[in-house]
Amino acid sequence: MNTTGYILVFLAVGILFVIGNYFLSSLLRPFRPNAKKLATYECGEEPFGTAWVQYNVRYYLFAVFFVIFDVEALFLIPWAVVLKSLGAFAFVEMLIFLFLLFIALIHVWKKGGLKWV
Amino acid sequence: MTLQALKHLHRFDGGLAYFLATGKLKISTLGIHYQIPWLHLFPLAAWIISMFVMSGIVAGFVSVNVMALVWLERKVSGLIQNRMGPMMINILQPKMLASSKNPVLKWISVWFGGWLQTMADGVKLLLKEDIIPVNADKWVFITAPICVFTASLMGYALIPFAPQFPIIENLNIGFLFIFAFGSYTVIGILMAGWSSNNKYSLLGGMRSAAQLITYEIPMLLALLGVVMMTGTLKMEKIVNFQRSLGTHHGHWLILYQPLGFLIFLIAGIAETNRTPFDMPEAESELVSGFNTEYSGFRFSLFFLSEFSNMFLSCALGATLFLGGWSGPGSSYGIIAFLWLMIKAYGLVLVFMWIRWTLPRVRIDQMMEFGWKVLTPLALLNILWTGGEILLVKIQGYQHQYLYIWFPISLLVLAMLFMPKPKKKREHKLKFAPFL
Repeated sequence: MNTTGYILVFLAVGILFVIGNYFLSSLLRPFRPNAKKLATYECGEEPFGTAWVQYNVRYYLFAVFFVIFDVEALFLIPWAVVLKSLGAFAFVEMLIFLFLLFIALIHVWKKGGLKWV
Repeated sequence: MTLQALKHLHRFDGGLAYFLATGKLKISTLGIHYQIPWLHLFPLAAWIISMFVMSGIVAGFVSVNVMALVWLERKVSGLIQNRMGPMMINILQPKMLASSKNPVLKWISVWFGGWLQTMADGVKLLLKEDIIPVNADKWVFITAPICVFTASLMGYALIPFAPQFPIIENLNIGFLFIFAFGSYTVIGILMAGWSSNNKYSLLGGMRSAAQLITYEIPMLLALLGVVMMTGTLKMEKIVNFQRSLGTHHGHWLILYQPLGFLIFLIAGIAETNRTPFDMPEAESELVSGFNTEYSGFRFSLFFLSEFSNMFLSCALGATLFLGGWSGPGSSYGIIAFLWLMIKAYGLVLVFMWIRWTLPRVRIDQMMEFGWKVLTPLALLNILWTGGEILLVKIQGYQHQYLYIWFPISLLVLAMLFMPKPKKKREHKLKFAPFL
Protein backbone atom coordinates (compact mmCIF):
# COMPACT_ATOMS: atom_id res chain seq x y z
CA MET A 1 0.00 0.00 0.00
CA ASN A 2 2.67 2.41 1.07
CA THR A 3 5.18 2.51 -1.78
CA THR A 4 2.78 1.37 -4.47
CA GLY A 5 0.34 4.01 -3.29
CA TYR A 6 3.00 6.68 -3.64
CA ILE A 7 3.79 5.55 -7.15
CA LEU A 8 0.14 5.50 -8.15
CA VAL A 9 -0.57 8.93 -6.68
CA PHE A 10 2.49 10.35 -8.36
CA LEU A 11 1.49 8.83 -11.68
CA ALA A 12 -2.02 10.23 -11.26
CA VAL A 13 -0.64 13.69 -10.52
CA GLY A 14 1.62 13.50 -13.59
CA ILE A 15 -1.29 12.63 -15.86
CA LEU A 16 -3.61 15.14 -14.20
CA PHE A 17 -0.97 17.85 -14.60
CA VAL A 18 -0.81 17.25 -18.33
CA ILE A 19 -4.56 16.95 -18.80
CA GLY A 20 -5.22 20.00 -16.64
CA ASN A 21 -2.80 22.12 -18.61
CA TYR A 22 -4.26 20.81 -21.82
CA PHE A 23 -7.73 21.77 -20.64
CA LEU A 24 -6.48 25.23 -19.69
CA SER A 25 -4.96 25.60 -23.12
CA SER A 26 -8.19 24.43 -24.79
CA LEU A 27 -10.01 27.33 -23.12
CA LEU A 28 -7.57 29.86 -24.51
CA ARG A 29 -6.51 28.72 -27.95
CA PRO A 30 -8.28 29.24 -31.24
CA PHE A 31 -9.77 26.41 -33.29
CA ARG A 32 -9.99 27.18 -36.99
CA PRO A 33 -9.04 24.04 -38.93
CA ASN A 34 -8.93 23.81 -42.70
CA ALA A 35 -7.86 21.12 -45.13
CA LYS A 36 -4.42 22.58 -45.81
CA LYS A 37 -3.69 22.92 -42.11
CA LEU A 38 -4.72 19.37 -41.31
CA ALA A 39 -2.66 17.82 -44.10
CA THR A 40 0.49 15.88 -43.30
CA TYR A 41 3.62 17.98 -43.48
CA GLU A 42 6.02 17.07 -46.24
CA CYS A 43 8.13 20.15 -46.88
CA GLY A 44 5.35 21.94 -48.71
CA GLU A 45 4.68 19.16 -51.20
CA GLU A 46 1.47 17.19 -51.42
CA PRO A 47 1.90 14.14 -49.13
CA PHE A 48 3.02 11.18 -51.17
CA GLY A 49 1.41 7.97 -49.96
CA THR A 50 1.26 6.85 -46.36
CA ALA A 51 4.11 6.62 -43.90
CA TRP A 52 2.84 3.36 -42.48
CA VAL A 53 5.11 1.15 -44.49
CA GLN A 54 7.45 -1.71 -43.71
CA TYR A 55 10.69 -0.29 -42.46
CA ASN A 56 14.18 -1.63 -42.30
CA VAL A 57 14.74 -4.94 -40.53
CA ARG A 58 17.91 -3.79 -38.79
CA TYR A 59 15.87 -1.89 -36.20
CA TYR A 60 14.43 -5.26 -35.24
CA LEU A 61 17.90 -6.79 -35.07
CA PHE A 62 19.11 -4.08 -32.72
CA ALA A 63 16.01 -4.52 -30.59
CA VAL A 64 16.88 -8.22 -30.24
CA PHE A 65 20.45 -7.38 -29.21
CA PHE A 66 19.05 -4.92 -26.72
CA VAL A 67 16.83 -7.56 -25.16
CA ILE A 68 19.78 -9.94 -24.82
CA PHE A 69 21.98 -7.39 -23.11
CA ASP A 70 19.21 -5.96 -20.99
CA VAL A 71 18.46 -9.40 -19.60
CA GLU A 72 22.17 -9.74 -18.94
CA ALA A 73 22.13 -6.47 -17.00
CA LEU A 74 19.11 -7.68 -15.05
CA PHE A 75 21.03 -10.81 -14.09
CA LEU A 76 23.97 -8.69 -13.05
CA ILE A 77 22.06 -6.34 -10.75
CA PRO A 78 21.15 -8.80 -7.94
CA TRP A 79 24.65 -10.18 -8.17
CA ALA A 80 26.13 -6.70 -7.84
CA VAL A 81 24.05 -5.94 -4.76
CA VAL A 82 25.29 -8.94 -2.80
CA LEU A 83 28.77 -9.27 -4.30
CA LYS A 84 30.53 -7.97 -1.18
CA SER A 85 29.10 -10.72 0.99
CA LEU A 86 29.39 -13.54 -1.55
CA GLY A 87 33.06 -13.11 -2.37
CA ALA A 88 35.33 -14.78 -4.89
CA PHE A 89 33.16 -17.71 -5.96
CA ALA A 90 30.29 -15.52 -7.15
CA PHE A 91 32.71 -13.24 -8.90
CA VAL A 92 34.29 -16.09 -10.89
CA GLU A 93 30.87 -17.47 -11.73
CA MET A 94 29.77 -14.11 -13.10
CA LEU A 95 33.06 -13.76 -14.94
CA ILE A 96 32.28 -16.95 -16.85
CA PHE A 97 28.82 -15.64 -17.67
CA LEU A 98 30.19 -12.28 -18.80
CA PHE A 99 32.86 -14.03 -20.84
CA LEU A 100 30.26 -16.08 -22.69
CA LEU A 101 28.24 -12.97 -23.44
CA PHE A 102 31.32 -11.11 -24.52
CA ILE A 103 32.10 -13.97 -26.94
CA ALA A 104 28.55 -13.55 -28.24
CA LEU A 105 29.12 -9.83 -28.71
CA ILE A 106 32.34 -10.53 -30.62
CA HIS A 107 30.49 -13.09 -32.74
CA VAL A 108 27.75 -10.62 -33.62
CA TRP A 109 30.41 -8.02 -34.32
CA LYS A 110 32.34 -10.33 -36.69
CA LYS A 111 29.14 -11.39 -38.43
CA GLY A 112 28.48 -7.74 -39.18
CA GLY A 113 25.35 -7.55 -37.06
CA LEU A 114 26.45 -4.36 -35.34
CA LYS A 115 27.03 -2.59 -38.61
CA TRP A 116 24.56 0.15 -39.40
CA VAL A 117 24.63 0.35 -43.16
CA MET B 1 -0.23 3.71 8.01
CA THR B 2 -0.24 5.49 11.33
CA LEU B 3 0.03 9.18 12.00
CA GLN B 4 3.24 8.57 13.91
CA ALA B 5 4.86 7.37 10.72
CA LEU B 6 3.52 10.38 8.86
CA LYS B 7 5.40 12.72 11.16
CA HIS B 8 8.72 11.62 9.73
CA LEU B 9 7.66 11.58 6.13
CA HIS B 10 8.61 14.84 4.55
CA ARG B 11 10.69 17.21 6.54
CA PHE B 12 11.87 19.20 3.63
CA ASP B 13 8.74 20.97 2.48
CA GLY B 14 8.57 23.31 5.45
CA GLY B 15 6.01 21.18 7.25
CA LEU B 16 3.32 21.50 4.59
CA ALA B 17 2.77 17.79 4.09
CA TYR B 18 2.92 17.33 7.84
CA PHE B 19 0.31 20.03 8.25
CA LEU B 20 -1.96 18.46 5.70
CA ALA B 21 -1.51 14.98 7.08
CA THR B 22 -1.96 15.71 10.73
CA GLY B 23 -3.73 19.01 10.76
CA LYS B 24 -0.98 20.53 12.88
CA LEU B 25 1.02 23.45 11.72
CA LYS B 26 4.53 22.87 12.90
CA ILE B 27 6.89 25.78 12.84
CA SER B 28 9.16 24.96 15.68
CA THR B 29 11.01 28.26 15.79
CA LEU B 30 7.81 30.16 16.34
CA GLY B 31 6.25 27.53 18.53
CA ILE B 32 2.97 27.51 16.65
CA HIS B 33 0.88 24.39 16.96
CA TYR B 34 -2.32 24.83 15.08
CA GLN B 35 -4.66 21.93 14.58
CA ILE B 36 -7.48 21.49 12.12
CA PRO B 37 -9.97 19.68 14.33
CA TRP B 38 -11.25 17.18 11.81
CA LEU B 39 -8.43 16.18 9.48
CA HIS B 40 -6.63 13.74 11.77
CA LEU B 41 -9.82 11.70 11.97
CA PHE B 42 -9.38 10.68 8.36
CA PRO B 43 -5.81 9.46 8.05
CA LEU B 44 -6.32 7.98 4.60
CA ALA B 45 -7.77 11.21 3.26
CA ALA B 46 -5.01 13.17 4.95
CA TRP B 47 -2.40 10.89 3.45
CA ILE B 48 -3.85 11.16 -0.03
CA ILE B 49 -4.08 14.96 0.20
CA SER B 50 -0.53 15.25 1.43
CA MET B 51 0.73 12.97 -1.34
CA PHE B 52 -1.14 14.98 -3.93
CA VAL B 53 0.32 18.19 -2.60
CA MET B 54 3.82 16.74 -2.54
CA SER B 55 3.61 15.45 -6.09
CA GLY B 56 2.08 18.74 -7.16
CA ILE B 57 5.09 20.51 -5.68
CA VAL B 58 7.39 18.22 -7.65
CA ALA B 59 5.45 18.81 -10.88
CA GLY B 60 5.63 22.56 -10.29
CA PHE B 61 9.33 22.30 -9.54
CA VAL B 62 9.88 20.40 -12.78
CA SER B 63 8.12 22.99 -14.90
CA VAL B 64 9.81 25.99 -13.29
CA ASN B 65 13.16 24.24 -13.47
CA VAL B 66 12.66 23.44 -17.14
CA MET B 67 11.93 27.11 -17.81
CA ALA B 68 15.19 28.03 -16.11
CA LEU B 69 16.99 25.33 -18.09
CA VAL B 70 15.68 26.50 -21.45
CA TRP B 71 16.65 30.08 -20.64
CA LEU B 72 20.09 28.91 -19.49
CA GLU B 73 20.53 26.84 -22.63
CA ARG B 74 19.85 29.85 -24.83
CA LYS B 75 22.12 32.07 -22.77
CA VAL B 76 24.95 29.50 -22.81
CA SER B 77 24.57 29.00 -26.54
CA GLY B 78 24.78 32.76 -26.91
CA LEU B 79 27.93 32.82 -24.79
CA ILE B 80 29.55 30.11 -26.89
CA GLN B 81 28.55 31.67 -30.19
CA ASN B 82 29.65 35.15 -29.17
CA ARG B 83 26.20 36.71 -28.96
CA MET B 84 23.88 37.68 -26.17
CA GLY B 85 20.98 35.26 -26.35
CA PRO B 86 17.46 36.38 -25.40
CA MET B 87 17.49 40.02 -24.31
CA MET B 88 14.04 41.41 -24.93
CA ILE B 89 11.65 40.16 -22.27
CA ASN B 90 12.99 41.57 -19.05
CA ILE B 91 10.07 43.59 -17.79
CA LEU B 92 11.19 43.76 -14.20
CA GLN B 93 14.65 44.96 -15.03
CA PRO B 94 15.27 48.70 -14.86
CA LYS B 95 16.37 50.37 -18.09
CA MET B 96 19.27 52.07 -16.37
CA LEU B 97 21.05 48.74 -15.93
CA ALA B 98 21.70 48.33 -19.64
CA SER B 99 23.06 51.82 -20.09
CA SER B 100 25.18 51.73 -16.97
CA LYS B 101 28.94 51.99 -17.16
CA ASN B 102 29.48 49.86 -14.07
CA PRO B 103 30.85 46.50 -15.28
CA VAL B 104 28.98 44.51 -12.64
CA LEU B 105 25.64 46.10 -13.54
CA LYS B 106 26.49 45.66 -17.20
CA TRP B 107 27.20 41.98 -16.60
CA ILE B 108 23.92 41.57 -14.77
CA SER B 109 22.00 43.29 -17.53
CA VAL B 110 23.57 41.05 -20.20
CA TRP B 111 23.22 37.82 -18.26
CA PHE B 112 19.79 38.32 -16.84
CA GLY B 113 18.36 40.14 -19.81
CA GLY B 114 15.44 38.20 -21.21
CA TRP B 115 14.99 36.13 -18.10
CA LEU B 116 11.26 35.86 -18.77
CA GLN B 117 11.73 34.68 -22.35
CA THR B 118 10.81 31.06 -21.61
CA MET B 119 7.69 32.15 -19.79
CA ALA B 120 6.64 34.14 -22.84
CA ASP B 121 7.35 31.16 -25.09
CA GLY B 122 5.33 28.90 -22.83
CA VAL B 123 2.35 31.25 -22.88
CA LYS B 124 2.66 31.51 -26.64
CA LEU B 125 2.62 27.73 -27.01
CA LEU B 126 -0.36 27.51 -24.69
CA LEU B 127 -2.26 29.92 -26.94
CA LYS B 128 -1.39 28.17 -30.20
CA GLU B 129 -3.94 26.21 -32.15
CA ASP B 130 -3.79 22.47 -31.60
CA ILE B 131 -3.59 20.60 -34.89
CA ILE B 132 -4.20 16.88 -35.29
CA PRO B 133 -3.57 15.84 -38.90
CA VAL B 134 -6.42 14.03 -40.62
CA ASN B 135 -4.26 11.08 -41.52
CA ALA B 136 -2.91 10.63 -38.01
CA ASP B 137 -3.93 7.88 -35.66
CA LYS B 138 -5.80 10.23 -33.37
CA TRP B 139 -5.79 8.54 -29.96
CA VAL B 140 -2.22 7.30 -30.17
CA PHE B 141 -1.27 10.81 -31.29
CA ILE B 142 -2.95 12.30 -28.23
CA THR B 143 -1.57 9.77 -25.73
CA ALA B 144 2.07 9.95 -26.84
CA PRO B 145 3.05 13.29 -25.23
CA ILE B 146 1.30 12.34 -21.99
CA CYS B 147 3.28 9.11 -21.96
CA VAL B 148 6.60 10.85 -22.55
CA PHE B 149 6.04 13.64 -20.04
CA THR B 150 4.66 11.46 -17.26
CA ALA B 151 7.57 9.05 -17.67
CA SER B 152 10.08 11.85 -17.25
CA LEU B 153 8.16 13.22 -14.27
CA MET B 154 8.11 9.85 -12.51
CA GLY B 155 11.88 9.78 -12.34
CA TYR B 156 11.87 12.80 -10.02
CA ALA B 157 10.08 10.76 -7.37
CA LEU B 158 13.28 8.83 -6.77
CA ILE B 159 15.87 11.62 -6.65
CA PRO B 160 16.88 12.40 -3.07
CA PHE B 161 16.83 16.20 -3.23
CA ALA B 162 17.55 16.45 0.48
CA PRO B 163 17.93 14.04 3.40
CA GLN B 164 14.73 12.03 3.77
CA PHE B 165 13.17 13.81 0.87
CA PRO B 166 12.67 11.33 -1.98
CA ILE B 167 8.95 11.12 -2.50
CA ILE B 168 9.07 7.36 -2.78
CA GLU B 169 11.41 6.49 0.04
CA ASN B 170 11.30 2.78 0.62
CA LEU B 171 11.58 1.52 -2.91
CA ASN B 172 14.02 -1.39 -2.99
CA ILE B 173 14.71 -1.25 -6.69
CA GLY B 174 15.99 2.33 -6.34
CA PHE B 175 17.27 3.87 -9.52
CA LEU B 176 16.14 0.91 -11.61
CA PHE B 177 12.74 2.56 -11.27
CA ILE B 178 14.04 5.53 -13.26
CA PHE B 179 15.23 3.20 -15.98
CA ALA B 180 11.92 1.37 -15.98
CA PHE B 181 10.06 4.60 -16.58
CA GLY B 182 12.75 5.74 -19.00
CA SER B 183 11.63 2.87 -21.20
CA TYR B 184 8.19 4.43 -21.36
CA THR B 185 9.83 7.42 -23.00
CA VAL B 186 10.92 5.10 -25.82
CA ILE B 187 7.39 3.81 -26.21
CA GLY B 188 5.98 7.34 -26.18
CA ILE B 189 8.41 8.50 -28.84
CA LEU B 190 7.66 5.47 -30.99
CA MET B 191 3.94 6.17 -30.56
CA ALA B 192 4.44 9.79 -31.58
CA GLY B 193 6.53 8.86 -34.60
CA TRP B 194 4.23 6.14 -35.81
CA SER B 195 0.90 7.82 -35.21
CA SER B 196 1.81 11.06 -37.02
CA ASN B 197 1.73 9.22 -40.35
CA ASN B 198 4.58 11.38 -41.52
CA LYS B 199 7.79 10.01 -42.99
CA TYR B 200 10.06 12.32 -41.03
CA SER B 201 8.29 11.49 -37.81
CA LEU B 202 8.47 7.77 -38.46
CA LEU B 203 12.18 7.95 -39.22
CA GLY B 204 12.82 10.13 -36.17
CA GLY B 205 10.81 7.84 -33.92
CA MET B 206 12.56 4.70 -35.10
CA ARG B 207 15.98 6.26 -34.87
CA SER B 208 15.23 7.59 -31.44
CA ALA B 209 14.07 4.19 -30.21
CA ALA B 210 17.18 2.50 -31.63
CA GLN B 211 19.42 5.10 -30.02
CA LEU B 212 17.71 4.98 -26.64
CA ILE B 213 17.88 1.20 -26.38
CA THR B 214 21.49 1.14 -27.57
CA TYR B 215 22.69 3.58 -24.94
CA GLU B 216 20.59 2.20 -22.14
CA ILE B 217 22.84 -0.85 -21.89
CA PRO B 218 26.18 0.91 -21.28
CA MET B 219 24.40 3.27 -18.89
CA LEU B 220 23.02 0.42 -16.80
CA LEU B 221 26.31 -1.47 -16.92
CA ALA B 222 28.24 1.65 -15.90
CA LEU B 223 25.95 2.16 -12.91
CA LEU B 224 26.55 -1.46 -11.90
CA GLY B 225 30.01 -0.43 -10.71
CA VAL B 226 28.35 1.93 -8.26
CA VAL B 227 25.98 -0.80 -7.11
CA MET B 228 28.85 -3.20 -6.60
CA MET B 229 30.70 -0.72 -4.43
CA THR B 230 27.73 0.41 -2.37
CA GLY B 231 25.85 -2.88 -2.27
CA THR B 232 22.49 -1.20 -2.64
CA LEU B 233 20.21 0.26 -5.26
CA LYS B 234 18.59 2.86 -3.03
CA MET B 235 19.64 6.38 -3.92
CA GLU B 236 19.49 7.57 -0.30
CA LYS B 237 21.81 4.79 0.82
CA ILE B 238 24.22 5.48 -2.01
CA VAL B 239 24.48 9.12 -0.89
CA ASN B 240 25.07 8.01 2.69
CA PHE B 241 27.72 5.56 1.51
CA GLN B 242 29.57 8.39 -0.19
CA ARG B 243 29.37 10.44 2.99
CA SER B 244 30.86 7.57 4.96
CA LEU B 245 33.84 7.13 2.62
CA GLY B 246 37.18 8.69 3.42
CA THR B 247 37.38 11.78 5.59
CA HIS B 248 34.56 13.44 7.47
CA HIS B 249 32.98 15.12 4.47
CA GLY B 250 33.12 11.88 2.51
CA HIS B 251 34.44 11.05 -0.92
CA TRP B 252 32.54 11.25 -4.13
CA LEU B 253 32.20 8.02 -6.04
CA ILE B 254 33.60 9.65 -9.16
CA LEU B 255 36.99 9.24 -7.49
CA TYR B 256 36.58 5.49 -7.52
CA GLN B 257 34.53 5.16 -10.72
CA PRO B 258 35.89 7.69 -13.23
CA LEU B 259 35.44 5.30 -16.13
CA GLY B 260 31.90 4.55 -15.06
CA PHE B 261 31.16 8.26 -14.78
CA LEU B 262 32.53 8.93 -18.26
CA ILE B 263 30.39 6.18 -19.77
CA PHE B 264 27.40 7.44 -17.81
CA LEU B 265 27.95 10.98 -19.08
CA ILE B 266 28.20 9.94 -22.74
CA ALA B 267 25.27 7.57 -22.49
CA GLY B 268 23.29 10.27 -20.67
CA ILE B 269 23.85 12.72 -23.50
CA ALA B 270 22.73 10.08 -25.98
CA GLU B 271 19.71 9.13 -23.87
CA THR B 272 18.48 12.70 -23.79
CA ASN B 273 18.92 13.10 -27.57
CA ARG B 274 21.37 15.96 -27.29
CA THR B 275 23.64 17.20 -29.95
CA PRO B 276 26.49 14.95 -30.72
CA PHE B 277 23.83 12.25 -30.74
CA ASP B 278 20.72 14.12 -31.85
CA MET B 279 19.89 12.24 -35.03
CA PRO B 280 16.29 11.63 -33.96
CA GLU B 281 15.66 15.37 -33.85
CA ALA B 282 18.07 16.48 -36.51
CA GLU B 283 16.45 19.73 -37.57
CA SER B 284 18.23 19.91 -40.87
CA GLU B 285 17.46 16.34 -41.96
CA LEU B 286 14.25 15.29 -40.28
CA VAL B 287 12.57 18.60 -39.45
CA SER B 288 12.85 17.74 -35.77
CA GLY B 289 11.85 14.13 -36.14
CA PHE B 290 9.12 12.52 -34.12
CA ASN B 291 7.46 15.81 -33.12
CA THR B 292 7.14 17.30 -36.60
CA GLU B 293 3.35 17.08 -36.62
CA TYR B 294 2.88 18.30 -33.07
CA SER B 295 1.92 21.86 -32.40
CA GLY B 296 0.95 24.09 -29.53
CA PHE B 297 0.72 22.57 -26.12
CA ARG B 298 1.46 19.02 -27.24
CA PHE B 299 4.74 20.16 -28.75
CA SER B 300 5.60 22.00 -25.56
CA LEU B 301 5.08 18.75 -23.66
CA PHE B 302 7.76 17.09 -25.76
CA PHE B 303 10.01 20.07 -25.25
CA LEU B 304 9.37 20.05 -21.53
CA SER B 305 10.06 16.36 -21.16
CA GLU B 306 13.26 16.63 -23.19
CA PHE B 307 14.67 19.20 -20.81
CA SER B 308 13.31 17.53 -17.71
CA ASN B 309 14.92 14.28 -18.87
CA MET B 310 18.19 16.10 -19.23
CA PHE B 311 17.96 17.48 -15.71
CA LEU B 312 16.90 14.07 -14.46
CA SER B 313 19.97 12.36 -15.82
CA CYS B 314 22.16 15.17 -14.47
CA ALA B 315 20.57 14.85 -11.04
CA LEU B 316 21.04 11.09 -11.24
CA GLY B 317 24.71 11.53 -12.12
CA ALA B 318 25.14 14.09 -9.34
CA THR B 319 23.53 11.76 -6.83
CA LEU B 320 25.36 8.61 -7.81
CA PHE B 321 28.79 9.99 -8.62
CA LEU B 322 29.09 13.46 -7.11
CA GLY B 323 27.85 12.90 -3.59
CA GLY B 324 24.23 13.97 -4.06
CA TRP B 325 23.03 16.39 -1.43
CA SER B 326 26.04 15.93 0.81
CA GLY B 327 28.29 18.88 1.42
CA PRO B 328 29.18 21.34 4.16
CA GLY B 329 26.07 22.31 6.08
CA SER B 330 23.89 19.67 4.49
CA SER B 331 22.18 18.80 7.74
CA TYR B 332 19.79 21.64 6.90
CA GLY B 333 17.30 20.52 4.29
CA ILE B 334 17.48 23.66 2.19
CA ILE B 335 21.29 23.71 2.04
CA ALA B 336 21.36 20.04 1.08
CA PHE B 337 18.90 20.84 -1.69
CA LEU B 338 21.12 23.69 -2.85
CA TRP B 339 24.13 21.37 -2.94
CA LEU B 340 22.33 18.90 -5.15
CA MET B 341 21.13 21.71 -7.41
CA ILE B 342 24.64 23.12 -7.72
CA LYS B 343 26.07 19.74 -8.67
CA ALA B 344 23.26 18.94 -11.07
CA TYR B 345 23.50 22.35 -12.72
CA GLY B 346 27.24 21.86 -13.07
CA LEU B 347 26.55 18.70 -15.04
CA VAL B 348 23.85 20.52 -17.01
CA LEU B 349 26.43 23.14 -17.99
CA VAL B 350 28.74 20.35 -19.19
CA PHE B 351 25.88 18.94 -21.27
CA MET B 352 25.24 22.36 -22.81
CA TRP B 353 28.90 22.99 -23.42
CA ILE B 354 29.14 19.68 -25.30
CA ARG B 355 25.96 20.36 -27.21
CA TRP B 356 27.05 23.73 -28.52
CA THR B 357 30.63 22.69 -29.22
CA LEU B 358 30.47 19.38 -31.05
CA PRO B 359 28.87 18.72 -34.43
CA ARG B 360 26.36 15.95 -34.98
CA VAL B 361 27.81 12.49 -35.66
CA ARG B 362 26.44 10.13 -38.30
CA ILE B 363 23.93 7.52 -37.21
CA ASP B 364 26.14 4.54 -38.04
CA GLN B 365 29.00 6.11 -36.10
CA MET B 366 26.73 6.61 -33.14
CA MET B 367 25.30 3.10 -33.11
CA GLU B 368 28.68 1.50 -33.56
CA PHE B 369 30.19 3.67 -30.86
CA GLY B 370 27.50 2.53 -28.45
CA TRP B 371 27.87 -1.16 -29.19
CA LYS B 372 31.54 -1.51 -29.96
CA VAL B 373 33.15 0.97 -27.58
CA LEU B 374 30.90 1.83 -24.68
CA THR B 375 29.47 -1.63 -23.97
CA PRO B 376 32.87 -3.42 -23.81
CA LEU B 377 34.24 -0.53 -21.74
CA ALA B 378 31.33 -0.85 -19.32
CA LEU B 379 31.97 -4.60 -19.04
CA LEU B 380 35.62 -3.84 -18.35
CA ASN B 381 34.57 -1.41 -15.63
CA ILE B 382 32.45 -4.11 -13.98
CA LEU B 383 35.35 -6.56 -14.15
CA TRP B 384 37.79 -4.17 -12.60
CA THR B 385 35.46 -3.00 -9.86
CA GLY B 386 34.68 -6.60 -8.94
CA GLY B 387 38.37 -7.51 -8.87
CA GLU B 388 39.13 -4.56 -6.65
CA ILE B 389 36.33 -5.37 -4.27
CA LEU B 390 37.70 -8.89 -3.95
CA LEU B 391 41.22 -7.61 -3.41
CA VAL B 392 40.00 -5.27 -0.69
CA LYS B 393 38.00 -8.09 0.85
CA ILE B 394 40.59 -10.89 0.65
CA GLN B 395 43.82 -9.01 1.14
CA GLY B 396 42.28 -6.67 3.67
CA TYR B 397 43.41 -3.55 1.87
CA GLN B 398 42.10 -0.48 3.59
CA HIS B 399 43.48 1.73 0.90
CA GLN B 400 40.38 2.70 -0.98
CA TYR B 401 42.23 4.72 -3.58
CA LEU B 402 43.05 1.38 -5.19
CA TYR B 403 39.89 1.82 -7.20
CA ILE B 404 41.26 4.86 -8.90
CA TRP B 405 44.48 3.38 -10.23
CA PHE B 406 43.18 1.36 -13.08
CA PRO B 407 40.97 3.92 -14.85
CA ILE B 408 43.67 6.56 -14.55
CA SER B 409 46.32 4.26 -15.93
CA LEU B 410 43.90 3.36 -18.70
CA LEU B 411 43.42 7.03 -19.53
CA VAL B 412 47.17 7.65 -19.52
CA LEU B 413 47.72 4.65 -21.80
CA ALA B 414 44.98 5.83 -24.12
CA MET B 415 46.56 9.28 -24.27
CA LEU B 416 49.99 7.78 -24.95
CA PHE B 417 48.80 5.58 -27.78
CA MET B 418 46.35 8.04 -29.26
CA PRO B 419 47.18 8.62 -32.92
CA LYS B 420 48.27 12.17 -33.40
CA PRO B 421 46.36 14.36 -35.83
CA LYS B 422 48.23 14.48 -39.11
CA LYS B 423 47.59 17.99 -40.30
CA LYS B 424 47.59 21.13 -38.30
CA ARG B 425 44.80 23.56 -38.92
CA GLU B 426 46.01 26.48 -40.92
CA HIS B 427 43.71 29.14 -39.61
CA LYS B 428 43.07 29.24 -35.94
CA LEU B 429 39.77 30.84 -35.06
CA LYS B 430 39.88 33.20 -32.17
CA PHE B 431 37.79 31.72 -29.39
CA ALA B 432 36.62 34.49 -27.14
CA PRO B 433 33.21 33.70 -25.70
CA PHE B 434 33.51 35.96 -22.69
CA LEU B 435 33.70 39.18 -24.64
